Amino acid sequence: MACGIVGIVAKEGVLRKPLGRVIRESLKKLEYRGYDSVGFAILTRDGRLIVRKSRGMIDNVSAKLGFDSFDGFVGIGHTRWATHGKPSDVNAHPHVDCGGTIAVVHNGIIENYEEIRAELTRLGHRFISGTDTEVIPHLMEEFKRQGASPYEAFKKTVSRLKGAYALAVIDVSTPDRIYFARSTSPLVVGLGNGANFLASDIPAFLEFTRKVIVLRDGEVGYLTADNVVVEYRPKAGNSEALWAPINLTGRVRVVEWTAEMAMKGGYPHFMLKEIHEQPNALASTLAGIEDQVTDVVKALSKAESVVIVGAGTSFHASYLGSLLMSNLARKRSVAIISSEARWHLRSLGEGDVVIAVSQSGETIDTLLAVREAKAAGALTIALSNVVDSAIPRESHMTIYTRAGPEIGVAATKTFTTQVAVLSYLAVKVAERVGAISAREASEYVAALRKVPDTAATIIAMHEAKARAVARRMAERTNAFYLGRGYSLPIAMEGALKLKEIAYVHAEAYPAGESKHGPIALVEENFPVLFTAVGRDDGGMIRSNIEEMKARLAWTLAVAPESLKEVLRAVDVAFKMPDLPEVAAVVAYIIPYQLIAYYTAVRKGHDPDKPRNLAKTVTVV
Amino acid sequence: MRAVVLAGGSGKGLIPLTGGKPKVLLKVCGEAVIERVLRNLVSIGAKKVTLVTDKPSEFEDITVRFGRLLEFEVRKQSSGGIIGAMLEAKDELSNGALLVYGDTLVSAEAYEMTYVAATEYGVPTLMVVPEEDVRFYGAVFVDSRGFIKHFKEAPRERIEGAYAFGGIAVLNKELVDLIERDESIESAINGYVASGNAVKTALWSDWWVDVGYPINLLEAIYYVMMGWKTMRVASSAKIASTAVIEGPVIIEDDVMIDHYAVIRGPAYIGRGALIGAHTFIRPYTDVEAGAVVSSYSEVVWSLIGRGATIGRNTFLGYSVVGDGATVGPGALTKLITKPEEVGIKAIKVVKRRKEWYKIGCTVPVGSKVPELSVLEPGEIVKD
Repeated sequence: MACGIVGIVAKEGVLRKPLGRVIRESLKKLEYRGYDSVGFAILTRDGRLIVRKSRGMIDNVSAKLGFDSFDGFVGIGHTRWATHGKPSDVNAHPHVDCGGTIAVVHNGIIENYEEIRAELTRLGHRFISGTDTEVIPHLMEEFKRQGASPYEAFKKTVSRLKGAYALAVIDVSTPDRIYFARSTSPLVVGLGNGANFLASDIPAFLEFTRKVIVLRDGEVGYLTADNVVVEYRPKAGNSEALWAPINLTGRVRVVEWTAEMAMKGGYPHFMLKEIHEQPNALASTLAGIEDQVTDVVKALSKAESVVIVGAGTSFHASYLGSLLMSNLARKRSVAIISSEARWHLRSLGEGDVVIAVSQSGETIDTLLAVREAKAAGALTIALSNVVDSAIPRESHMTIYTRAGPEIGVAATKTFTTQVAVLSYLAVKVAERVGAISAREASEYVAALRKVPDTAATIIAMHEAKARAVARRMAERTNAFYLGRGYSLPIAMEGALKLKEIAYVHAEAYPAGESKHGPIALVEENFPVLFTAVGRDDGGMIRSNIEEMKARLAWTLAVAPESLKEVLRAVDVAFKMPDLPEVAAVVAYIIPYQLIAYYTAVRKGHDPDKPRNLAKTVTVV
Repeated sequence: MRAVVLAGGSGKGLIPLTGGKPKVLLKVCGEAVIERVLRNLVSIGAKKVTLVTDKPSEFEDITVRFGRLLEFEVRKQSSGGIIGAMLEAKDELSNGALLVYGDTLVSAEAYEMTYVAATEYGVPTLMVVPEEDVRFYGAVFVDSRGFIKHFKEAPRERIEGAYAFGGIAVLNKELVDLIERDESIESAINGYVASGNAVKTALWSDWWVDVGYPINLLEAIYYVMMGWKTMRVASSAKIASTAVIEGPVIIEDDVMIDHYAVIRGPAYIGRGALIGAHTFIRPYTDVEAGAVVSSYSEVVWSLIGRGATIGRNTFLGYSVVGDGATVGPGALTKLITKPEEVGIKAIKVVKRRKEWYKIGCTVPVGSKVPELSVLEPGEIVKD
């Protein structure tokens, strides 16, 4: 998925601080693209190639790597977001060739790396890491050995690569330049005064220059401190075609906006961007999930009981997980709010499993619950979005949601991806313990695999309606979110979203319980939002709607197409695709995310920075 | 950055109010639609603006004023329609200038968001808005990564799952050439996408008004005034001691407000306007320069054009009165419509926890409404 790369060539004294420090600060600005591991390579003035890398976040490892202590004319850097394969010191970028003279940073995937690696291994090259990137320096080294000049060797190397890449390469034999290439993955050039820059995204070098050139697919070239050369070969892969230089006049743009604006990539807020990223985030979560969960499924299948702990949005995902475990897998299961967990966990022992759900992996209450559970003798499993954070480190087993970094304080894509993982786990456990047949299980898995597409459809079909509903919600001070069974955690999450960013008091309640008290508050035009996942047993949701309508409430429903009665009974209907419950629980929250977002915008609040809230809560 | 503003067209739906002049010159809260657009461009750092219109002489005043703030060029469009206007600025658009439809009101952030996305992705970019009814706009179908799958110009039927094109875009040479060849934006974008090129969308979520009908002017008043937080009264305004002014109200030079008048903000009273004794100006009312609202009248959420006169004892609501028009004493607008009533677009108002649909009438420029007239919802008054 997303990684960030930077490259800097500067004349002496232009940057006014050591090159290593500039690389560190630039990488810091790309941290939103990933922060699992970090590394840099610098050509020092005396001609040495320094390569330092480590897993961990920039701020945590910068002292260890000694970023600030290195200076030179040319340097490259990389910040990585591991999606496949562990973040480790060896796998971190830059990667070098056998001779240690060529260093490469890369964002993207080289599809044909195995073939190239096999070929180079036969020719005597030695590979150290398990990454696709490592073939690049070795291939370039090989072409150089065959007599090509460094730039020719680089172009030949690029011609061999298939897949998506943004590359920055330095070579000791040409210490004045950085070679680069772009295919699909983003790459921009910054034109400074006596220094030129290369980065995955503009914010990386905004401190030094506002003049940029956005590179296009298939472009290859190099930059020196006062020149940029770009070439393009019309038909990629056709080794006969000639590289033709590109005229860059007219391509230079002057950037006049802030780094934050650039990172939002065509959305006014991070939250809206992240809502729209859900199809891709879910696809990334579900890709290769089998390998991640094999041991976890075995452990859960043997467990006597499964306790799932989480805070805030993660608790709502936990609640859905426990309902799926109980109903689908027939596994005794309960969800507990992290900060309350200590009152429950002491009764656990060997044979019990605790799943700790936390986006950041640093939520202090959840971390304390993990320690409590371990002390009681339970097996602990972390479900997190941030590789090697505290909760994964302290747990026995870990699953990553791989949703990509989330910047908006209100969780969106991390919720849907957490639910997707828990739903997948429940199906696998159910199959393993014999609660459902293999055929049912494969049907459910197939439905989950389609969830990314379904999510995209739901967003496109309902965004305008959600914006229209938001006009009404913006006038209100209260709302009820009602649901039964699987719908209840979705209602709770929907209410939380409205509360935390739109500052409308919203309460979620089990629909059947509403007449035992809350209904007293309902009066004319009071908004009541119903959720129905799957079926409406005995028309109970329908009768709850009628109860509310009898009190002149304004009603809305998020329900599948097949529940025509429910959809027809309400004032505003969000017609969802018919999905098996395991998939519906993932996707049905989307309309509520949109309603909350548009209500906040309508009221003039910044949804990315809700008052009194922090993204990661690390205090008790 | 550079920008191209399309300011042609008198706007079919607004002819009663424009009298054939460019519709972007219509004023809302003392400022023409086009001035708001240009001010936005200045605020996001535009260095050069190319304005394309079929009536350059109408823009002389604006050319002078904005010529001080940026490099400003007015071009006369030789062939009609949006395509004709775009091709007049073909050079600029091919070079990645920001394209802005001059009749679209939105905050400057939307311009910036679109331009930033286009630069970030290095591909043509269209601003889109989630609108429930995309009829008469461009309907844009977007994939899960925010790129355009398909574009449909002004669909006649309601479409689900499409976004409305918001009148702000960044193009490139290839796309502009296709538009010239096909003489159609729809066919150009679809052809460009079909041959494997990417067109990005930038999704705008806040308010956005496409000024095409009188009701859009009322919407524009709402959104402009929504941003007001304070009252501002010009020192030369004469306000009677018994008049009541509350909320965010802007009162310009030489305004006269007579005894016992009540002005409840947000409201705008333009230069030299007169508000008679016992008159009640209610929220979202825009009284343009030199207009007169005579005594004992009540006005709610309306636009009263430059130099128009509202006779005494008149009730005017959700209406637009053209420049220099006269509404006779004792006239009355009927407001409440049922949403299901076909053919009338109305404003949804939530009051006392209930939703109402309200719309008044349109009084054409310079026309006269006889005394004691009863004006029907949605009526365009005939002289």
